[in-house]
This record gives sequence, structure tokens and C-alpha cells, in this order.
Amino acid sequence: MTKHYTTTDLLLYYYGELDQAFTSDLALQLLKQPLLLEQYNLLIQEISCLNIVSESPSETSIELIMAYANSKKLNASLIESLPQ
Amino acid sequence: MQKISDNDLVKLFQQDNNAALEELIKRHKKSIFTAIYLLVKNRSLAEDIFQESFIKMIHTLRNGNYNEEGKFVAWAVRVARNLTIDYLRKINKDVTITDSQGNDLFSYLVIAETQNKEDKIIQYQTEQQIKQLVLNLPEDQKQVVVLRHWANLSFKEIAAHTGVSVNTALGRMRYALANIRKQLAESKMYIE
Repeated sequence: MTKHYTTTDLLLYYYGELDQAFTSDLALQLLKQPLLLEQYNLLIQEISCLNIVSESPSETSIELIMAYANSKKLNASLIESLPQ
Repeated sequence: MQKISDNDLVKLFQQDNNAALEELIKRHKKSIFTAIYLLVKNRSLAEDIFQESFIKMIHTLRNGNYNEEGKFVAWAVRVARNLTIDYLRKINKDVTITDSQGNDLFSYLVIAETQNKEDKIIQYQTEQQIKQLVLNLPEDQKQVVVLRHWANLSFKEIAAHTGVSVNTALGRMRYALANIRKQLAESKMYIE
């Protein structure tokens, strides 16, 4: 008997989290069932629009982090160079 | 650096190779920063939390306390998320601005933001529209969307972090997507 796949199953499938036992079957059902495929395409459209949203930190933030990492490295080597 | 895995970059950084850290930042800055930004809704604050998150990660990695077996990005986002939540809790606890009647002024700001929402949809380009839709989601839904989509946490991890069942996390994601779809459909009516 064919398993009835829900939107939640499709969501898990999209993010690669569906139980391995059902993954291949769902892929096959998507080819066989046009309505299920339509439902999946709709879900992809909804999720894809999220990809448009992307924010980047400023270069200053990254420079500050790297300056911090470099200063810590410098401190460590200074401590190591101190006479015991 | 492009072909080196995150875990190998972590090891290189632990061996004092700072270029490895730079590469890790370069790879994951957008997903981590977007996740923080969408949760705090303030760029300047998001920059501070982003920097603080990496400083905390540098300490953990240098002290040899990193024993994450999973993905670096999941751990990095967890560090950023925890700092973000600490900040949000602090705000809720310590910052309460009231007017002469004792009403919380933040409630007025929320109303103002809602009133401007439609104007923003008309004026903004697609990215701005969708960003706004995500920001306007109910907190529980927004948290799941941000953690799943940008922070790349699994629904199981999200459930564990937010203290709900996997089914609840999945349900919130579905409601969020439905909400976004509905609002997009409504906004198109205005654009046309």
C-alpha cells in the first residue's frame, strides 16, 4: 500500500531530514503523482523566496575579529618567549 | 582553502593558522549574520553580537574546549544564537521604558512598525519585502525559520534548543511558510 505523504514529509524531504526508509519512495511518488509534485513545487517556491534574504556583516567587524585573533596569537608568542 | 573541510580548518586554526579562521568566517558569515540580524532586527547590534560570537569561539577553539563532532557552522550558530538570546533576555528584563501613564513605550513602537508595514512592502524591492515578512513572523515561527534555513540546524536540533517537540518545530515552519505565502499574495495586490 502506498504511503500518504504530507506537507511535513515534503518539508523534511527538502531539508534532507526525511527518514531514509522513505526517501527513495517519496522521490518515486513525486514522479508518479502530479498533485504531490505540484505540492512539492509550491513548497520549494515558498522556501526559495527565503534565499533572497541575505545579510552580511561589515568588513570592519571581520577586521576586528581578525585583529583580536592576531593580538591573542602575538600575546601567546610573547609569553612563550619570556625567560622561564 | 576552498577544498578544505570546516573541521580541518578548525584544526589548522588550533595550530595557530589564522588564515583558517578567516576562511571559516568568509564561508559562514552570511548565514550566521543573517540569523543574528533577523532575530535582533538591528544591524549595529547584530554586528556587535557577530563579533562577540567569534571572540567567544576563538577562546573556545584556542583553549582546546571545542569537541563538536558535528558541523562547525551548527556550533557557530549556536554560540551566536545563545548570545543573541542572552541579549534579548537582558533587554526584556532590564530595559522597560514607560510613559507617564506607565505604558511600555516599546508597545507604541511595535504599533508604528505594523502601520508602516504596508508602505514598506510597496516601496521596497523583493529582498526587502521578504526580509520584512520574515521579521514580522510570530517569534516562535521566526525562530524556527531562521534556525532551520539560515543557521542550518536540523528540526531535531531546533526542537532540542527551543524545548519543543520535533512535530511542533515542523508545524511552526509550515505555519511560517504559509504566513509568508499569504502575505506575499496580499502584497502583490498592492504592487499591481
